[in-house]
Amino acid sequence: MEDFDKLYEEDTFKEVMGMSKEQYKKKVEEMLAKSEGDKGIGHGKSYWKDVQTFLLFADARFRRNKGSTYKKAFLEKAKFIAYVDFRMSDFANYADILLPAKSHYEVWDLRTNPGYHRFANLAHPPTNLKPVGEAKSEWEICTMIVEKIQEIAMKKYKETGDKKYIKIPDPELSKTGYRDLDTLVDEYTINGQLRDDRDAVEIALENTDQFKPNTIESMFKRGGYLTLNEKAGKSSPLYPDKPYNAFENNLFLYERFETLSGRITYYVDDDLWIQEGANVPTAKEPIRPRKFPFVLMTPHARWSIHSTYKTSTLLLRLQRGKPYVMINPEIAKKKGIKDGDEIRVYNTLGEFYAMAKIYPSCPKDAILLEHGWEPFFYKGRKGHNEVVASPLNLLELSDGWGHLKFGGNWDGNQHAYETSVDIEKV
Amino acid sequence: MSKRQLAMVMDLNKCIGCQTCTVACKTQWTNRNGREYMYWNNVETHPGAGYPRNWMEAGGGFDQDGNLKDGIIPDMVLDYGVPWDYNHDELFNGSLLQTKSDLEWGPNWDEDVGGGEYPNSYFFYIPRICNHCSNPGCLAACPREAIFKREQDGIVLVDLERCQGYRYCIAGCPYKKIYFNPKISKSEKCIFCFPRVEKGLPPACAHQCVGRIRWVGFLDDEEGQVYKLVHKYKVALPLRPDFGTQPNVYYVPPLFDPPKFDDNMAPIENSRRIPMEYLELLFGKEVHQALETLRKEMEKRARGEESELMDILIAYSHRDMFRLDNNYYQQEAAKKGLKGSEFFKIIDQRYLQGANTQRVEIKDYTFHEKVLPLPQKEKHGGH
Ligand code: SF4
Ligand code: SF4
Repeated sequence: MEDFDKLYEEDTFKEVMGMSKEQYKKKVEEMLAKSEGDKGIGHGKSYWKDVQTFLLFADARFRRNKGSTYKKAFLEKAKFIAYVDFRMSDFANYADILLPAKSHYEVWDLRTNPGYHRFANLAHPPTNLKPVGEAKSEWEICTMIVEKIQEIAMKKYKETGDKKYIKIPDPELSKTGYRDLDTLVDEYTINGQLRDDRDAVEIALENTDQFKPNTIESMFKRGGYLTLNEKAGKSSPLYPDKPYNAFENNLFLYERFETLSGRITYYVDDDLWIQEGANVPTAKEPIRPRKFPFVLMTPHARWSIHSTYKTSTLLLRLQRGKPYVMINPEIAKKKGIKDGDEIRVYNTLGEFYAMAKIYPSCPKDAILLEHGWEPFFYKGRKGHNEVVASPLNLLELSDGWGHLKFGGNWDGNQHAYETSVDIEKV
Repeated sequence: MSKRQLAMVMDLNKCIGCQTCTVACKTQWTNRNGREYMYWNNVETHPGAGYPRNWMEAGGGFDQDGNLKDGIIPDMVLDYGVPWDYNHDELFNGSLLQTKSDLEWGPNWDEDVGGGEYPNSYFFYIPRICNHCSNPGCLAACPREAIFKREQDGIVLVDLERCQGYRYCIAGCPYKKIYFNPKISKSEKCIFCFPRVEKGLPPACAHQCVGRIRWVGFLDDEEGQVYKLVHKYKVALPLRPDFGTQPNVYYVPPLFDPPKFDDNMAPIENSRRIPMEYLELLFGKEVHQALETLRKEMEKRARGEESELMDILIAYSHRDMFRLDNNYYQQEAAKKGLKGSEFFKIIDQRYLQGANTQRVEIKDYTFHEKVLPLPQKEKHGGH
């Protein structure tokens, strides 16, 4: 909110959003109050206010959409951070404990994406692969953590005879209302069957209807993949001889879509949507401040998956080796910037430094920067999110209307083209 | 001329510049032992300076009368770019991730830059490997006759035992696709993945290509798609044929570029952004006919008619795209009564012997000396 206040101009915001910045903030407070806790107190979007201990997997969190205010707030709140990754990401530096993981191609895994295609690939460690240092698969790491928790709980319990060390209340998510730490390992590993990555693949192959009938051996024989059976078609039947077409069930076989009307829905008469004038799809001007001339666009990187692989020397040598900002040639000339110069990108919120690349395909009112660069690539560890406030799009917070429910697919979105900046030669 | 000639065709309309081919080649052959700066396969943006920088202006090749032209050796820092390393080890102590050397230039430095002005800017990619030319400039320039062309398939290789690191080959190759290895002081280049090819597998760059833009096969195999693209339909053209080396990598020129926009941002019908002069420079006058054929065949297909050419370009199956003439190499080996591990001896004894070659001590280490005049031929004979 601090960043939101600093970046956005009252006039522009009001003109675009039809509400003042104060009103927006009040609305957010209201929605948050409704949402706190596992199920959302008033059945909004769940969020957890008081978490202090974090176990994070491969989450370079400060390269994601917020600047230094968020970083400061997060680090103040986090009392203890355990971090699991196969590489030294920028975030790894802030962890209390670092747990080295094996990378994607050193572990057993099944990769699939039903909805796009009908195959599952088997990832497996190359034969005779030597582990790097103490790296373990994420499954093994979790099993070990669980074993330690049980060991400590049992020790305390034996010393004191007090059941509170092994029966932890969890009224919301546990059926019994408790977590039983004396049987935690058995529960977590299904009585020892599921201890590591290979176990996980075997159990998934045995128990997932859509994978049947398959084993690791049968996948190997076929060259490392399986074909999902007819049960895998979520929104379309799977035919043996035809490609998968999403939504055939709904569009041709007349099953209901999971919406209020059962059809593809463009009209949403949720209060908040009506209030925001978005009950039918509505394009709006961007909320970014108008006093800065360039919209900051951060398209997907060519070869990194967000920040994963961004630190690969091999790949970095195939671009410019460090963050670079693409600038229209005419703009560059006006600003006295040459290709390869260091430039400062700034707005009221903050600044970052990068190399200039003169790029004819860049519009004159924008600068382009591939996303995925982590803060540790930048001078002063100040990444490109220093100039971004990322207010949530209010529409994302509405709940309890038709398909607008909190669930696995919910992904709080922000505003498109939300920030603007100016640039100068350093 | 060799008895037969392997060739590769690349369809520039489908190259997305992902560099998967570059990485396939690099991890297979050039990430070690003095080859770090070499990109036997590189993908560059055109129009652009490419890799090494301004290679098209660096001389070499032959003039109209078939005489070898002078050429230069590109500069390591400014033209190839010194491959930079990072302080990955220091990250643990909270350091920033930084390069250990200054960044001057690299193999893909002007990625996506191209030409034109927004919104009518344009660019396209050209992946480049050694062309395994029928009249190699590198071979002609070498005073030691250390470069040879294999009889069986026309692959051009360096005999490292004979190579003395004079680097005339680099000046002589107009594509700058042969490189000096500073660790052993000898020249090295793309080997068309011959150990793979002899086993029936295409070169790694072609096999890994995400866009499925590459075909590999023998030019005299009339059933093969390479033959059809090059000779039957004549839509695949050599790059810079005016350099006179008769390259054996062929390109389907870019047919698709978005139309230009007028001042009101409305597309202008039948306009092209990529200037035809530039395509002519790259592929010669034949480019007009090639583009015409492509257009016609596409229209045919759009009308619902058959088009063999379009079927080939869709690249349905690797089996058809890579035709290494089932067991050609096995038969060659059998003729000589070779089998098993002797297999490789058929054609590349000279190359394999070079595996343990000694470093050459070069007294006159003139990397910076730019123009290399043509050398006198040494008498063929002992080392
Ligand atoms: S491209 Fe260059 S290195 Fe390759 S064969 Fe032709 S002249 Fe020789
Ligand atoms: S892998 Fe294929 S598509 Fe990708 S850059 Fe290389 S040639 Fe182009």
